[in-house]
Amino acid sequence: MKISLNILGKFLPDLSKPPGEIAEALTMGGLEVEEIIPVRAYPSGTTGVVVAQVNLVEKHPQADRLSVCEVNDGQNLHRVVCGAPNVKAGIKYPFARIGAKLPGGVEIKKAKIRGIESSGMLLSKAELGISDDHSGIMELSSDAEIGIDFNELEKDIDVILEVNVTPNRPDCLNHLGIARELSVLSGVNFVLPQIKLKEEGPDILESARVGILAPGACPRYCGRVISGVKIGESPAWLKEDLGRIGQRSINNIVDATNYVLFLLGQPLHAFDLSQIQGREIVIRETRAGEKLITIDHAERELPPGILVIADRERPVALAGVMGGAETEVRDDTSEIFLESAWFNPLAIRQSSKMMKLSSESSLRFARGVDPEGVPLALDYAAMLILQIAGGKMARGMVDSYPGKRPAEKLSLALSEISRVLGNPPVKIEEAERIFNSLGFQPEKSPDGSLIGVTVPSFRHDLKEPVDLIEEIARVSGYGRIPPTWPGLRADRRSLSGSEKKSVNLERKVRDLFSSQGFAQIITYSFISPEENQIFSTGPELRIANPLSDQMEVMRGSLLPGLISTVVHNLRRKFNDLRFFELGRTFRREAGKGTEIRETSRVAGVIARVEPPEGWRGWLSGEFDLYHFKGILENVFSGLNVENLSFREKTSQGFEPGLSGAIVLDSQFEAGRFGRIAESVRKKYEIHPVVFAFELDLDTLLARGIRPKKFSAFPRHPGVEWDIAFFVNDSVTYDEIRNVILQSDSNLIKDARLIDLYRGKEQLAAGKKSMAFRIYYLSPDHTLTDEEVRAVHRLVAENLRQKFSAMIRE
Amino acid sequence: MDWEQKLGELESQVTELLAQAGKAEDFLQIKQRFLGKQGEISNLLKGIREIPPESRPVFGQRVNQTKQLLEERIAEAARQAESGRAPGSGETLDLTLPGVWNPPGSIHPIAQALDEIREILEDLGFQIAEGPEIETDYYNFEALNIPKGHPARDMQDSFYIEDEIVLRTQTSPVQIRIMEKQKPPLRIYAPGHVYRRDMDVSHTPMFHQVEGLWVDRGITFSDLKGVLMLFAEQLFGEGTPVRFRPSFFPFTEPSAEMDIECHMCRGKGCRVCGNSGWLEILGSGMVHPGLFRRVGYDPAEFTGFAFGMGVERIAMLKFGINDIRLFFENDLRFLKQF
Ligand SMILES: [Zn+2]
Repeated sequence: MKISLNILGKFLPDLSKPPGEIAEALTMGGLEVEEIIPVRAYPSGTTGVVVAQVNLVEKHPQADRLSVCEVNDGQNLHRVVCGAPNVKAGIKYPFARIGAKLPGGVEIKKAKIRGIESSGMLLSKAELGISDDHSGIMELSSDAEIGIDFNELEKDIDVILEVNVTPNRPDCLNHLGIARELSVLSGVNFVLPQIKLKEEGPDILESARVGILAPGACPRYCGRVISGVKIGESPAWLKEDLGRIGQRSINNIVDATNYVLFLLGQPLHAFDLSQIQGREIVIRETRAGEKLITIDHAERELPPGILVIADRERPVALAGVMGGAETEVRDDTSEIFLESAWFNPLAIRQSSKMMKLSSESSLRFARGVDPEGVPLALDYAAMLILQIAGGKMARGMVDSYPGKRPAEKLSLALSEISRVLGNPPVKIEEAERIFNSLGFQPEKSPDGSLIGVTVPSFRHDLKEPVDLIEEIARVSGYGRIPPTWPGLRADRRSLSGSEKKSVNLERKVRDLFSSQGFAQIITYSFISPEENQIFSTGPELRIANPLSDQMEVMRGSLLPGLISTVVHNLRRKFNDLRFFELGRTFRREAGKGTEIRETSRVAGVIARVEPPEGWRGWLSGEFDLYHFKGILENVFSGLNVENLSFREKTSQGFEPGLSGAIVLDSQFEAGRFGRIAESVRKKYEIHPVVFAFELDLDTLLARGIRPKKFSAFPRHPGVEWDIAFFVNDSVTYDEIRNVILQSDSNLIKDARLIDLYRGKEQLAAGKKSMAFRIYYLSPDHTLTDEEVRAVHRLVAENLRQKFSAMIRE
Repeated sequence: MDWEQKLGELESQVTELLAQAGKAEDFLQIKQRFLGKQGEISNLLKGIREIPPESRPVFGQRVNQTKQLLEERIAEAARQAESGRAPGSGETLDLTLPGVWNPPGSIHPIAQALDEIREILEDLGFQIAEGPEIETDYYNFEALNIPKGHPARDMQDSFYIEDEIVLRTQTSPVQIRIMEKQKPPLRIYAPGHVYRRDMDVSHTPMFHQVEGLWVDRGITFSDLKGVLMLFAEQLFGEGTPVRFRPSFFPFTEPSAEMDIECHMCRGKGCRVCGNSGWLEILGSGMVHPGLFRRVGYDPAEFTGFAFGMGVERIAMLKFGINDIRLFFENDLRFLKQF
């Protein structure tokens, strides 16, 4: 909202504070001034232009219309050739020295004009970019100091404040409201402008009739009639004032109503009365099938039940939102009906929403204007119109006020103030003073413990005692309330143990992945349906009003965001890409209607352009699924998850045979991992192989994380014996290792795969060669060779029996 | 050959070979050839039966001495080669070469800013609380004093899944959810994603907020100021000037915006702070009695304050990031800087 300090002056004649202080007072009172914009008399944009005096003027010997002048710029005397008819000796003018720059980039150079060298230039307003006046050079006042920069002559002729008015204060969406606040906040005297009106025409009832058929939506309707107006341009001051507060000038009548809107906050509308059928104005709700061409020349179908202004036959305006084209003021209009009303905010909000139309008027009606200010604004506008468009005003005013209500009363216990604001307590005199300044007409109870107020008709935001407490805090200043520290009054019982755990898990996961070279990303929760389908099944969760079709569904998986990030960064020539994201995924619970489930997950991707960059790349050589699995195992070990296994399983978007499920306690699926399907890579045009995983953190937290437990270790040394064998290729590592470990769970502590070989010969026979290193340890004594040999033999025997392994000696 | 002579010969052979060795493999080979199980020394020892019994102890002693000597020499030479001072050929050490390393990952700047906020709030005794990102109209608006048609809804254009289901526009609904479940005293904070239907140079349709709430008997606006000043000092440095100015939030009364002095211009006014000298950091206020009534707290007994801040804004100030969209582009040139 743009506020002109000049216009504020109409209400605050004594306002003389500098704009910075005014802005500070408003901001600290809750009306944040976002910008202070000085309006300068002259547009700047010149350099090297100074005030200079012409000492002598002579005719140019070669040209009648030119003069040769001696110019004093405070430093030197210059000879300047000038073509202006108004150049006179002894007068000061703006003077461009050699090298000066004018608006538009013109640079002043030495020039020979008709044989005489001219060093500099005396300037017109047009050359300075001030106006389009070319008629002569610009005379400056005689007290302008010779030699000073022209820019310093400029004066701020007005200052515009850009004020951010919060939705609870519609009364401040105009100059009157801001002035009233400023008066309260800084103690400057506030006056209402004088209105003097001549009513020379016939009685208004002879010119127009008004009927309210929807008193709920239109509690008050006022009008005046002026005949014989002359439609034309507005006077310069009005155009300028409107321009400064960001409004375009249209014609004198429209400008007058607009001006009053921004001055007093009351939206007004002027109808061409000759176009109102039967001179009857009816405020009613629409009936089925009605239409209206609005002033933007769009024909609109009106849904039934919205508030309109109608004449005897048809709607002529969307009440409070927009006028109609057929009754708008035109160049040949001579008789106008001027409307000033109070419409119910809910009614205006509803029609504005249904018609998808909003305006400066509807914005204010929807938030609530001052019902008691309706006639005042009407008279002010009428006065202005008579002044700038002439005409005669009919006697009397229409003022139909079926919805008049008594003023709202509130009462506040003095003790409540310090209960909310803290110490020191506010004295009753202080509260009274503040309420008085706000126009609340305070009355204290006999014992001085309560204070009653009458809520002014323009304040729709004061509904309970606490609202009055805010007024006290705001007007006396938040800065005056001392800070205190409540210390340990609230106890620290834990109310959210599980949330704390999940935050800690997320943090641990994050640190583990970032230490494995993964960069954390955050992507939007909404993606395109196409992307979502790649990695998710089941019904999608659509946004009813998405920003674009790329953001239409809530993600069922974190993977699409990760894959898009890979694509983005591959284009930027990165070649070792590792990303992870922590966030929620969303889905509808199958069969539960509207129930929506949010799941905390972590997902990650690796895409490597081989060979890795660097003089000796990390993990040089083919990066395969086992490397990827190794990274995951590393993270799980860091998280202390031991009950997990990887099981072959193809899930949506992954390559069959090269992907699997991450399973807890051999039965709870917590996630998936593997190589991204070839088809997906093609779709995204990703060249390198991409590995990805996605893990459900809630499941992991519920079933996977076990507290660490120390187990005592024997002090006796253990021994490591190796065993090598051929076995069928289909037998898995896990199966073999389990058989080894179970051969003697007492003495065998570990078995590690140290070699895996699939040569041509072995493969031909469907075999592989494997070697395990078995760690033998007894809890209570040092093992002898004989003891170990016996168990080692048993291991070999078991492998032979279970898998027909051929032990290599 | 006499065994004494043989020992001397082995010694000189080793010396000769060591002079030519440079790489680690070379030393390993030499060691294996002379000291390994099948090495020259072992072979020599196997010939102990051909030695007259009376000479055997001397023989054993001498062979062991030589073995020890050779071991030491090889190890020393290898050490020298490794430290780059090895004479002769082989690879020279260039310690200025970059190490072979696993390129580090990074933690998103939003997550880092959140961590910092979280630590400060936890030190102040606030406990974490969470709520859904897809909310009902009731929790996101209605319960927060924003009924249908309330002008405050205009400020926050929201995403809808269906009529009564919205993507939460603020973390404030968590306040209601927790208050419904717990009686005061209550001191919680709630971080998370929020969504608004807005996308331009200074808005992203998803961003992060942290909400705080403290309810008890006797909590006052003075307390709000004290706690939030402490918070600002810890987040932005001791002695950071702050100011509180009146504002409007439907769910607090009185409401206050907290500004910190602009760190770029130290309050003089610059482009970053829009010439005001102040930077808006968080919104706050005393919990509106309407909220208490709705969750069954007695507003005559309890008071409380709430505050909320945008994490992106704080991360931008702390890291000097000038474009909010960078957070969600996930470009490695950006991410790797954190
Ligand atoms: Zn600044």
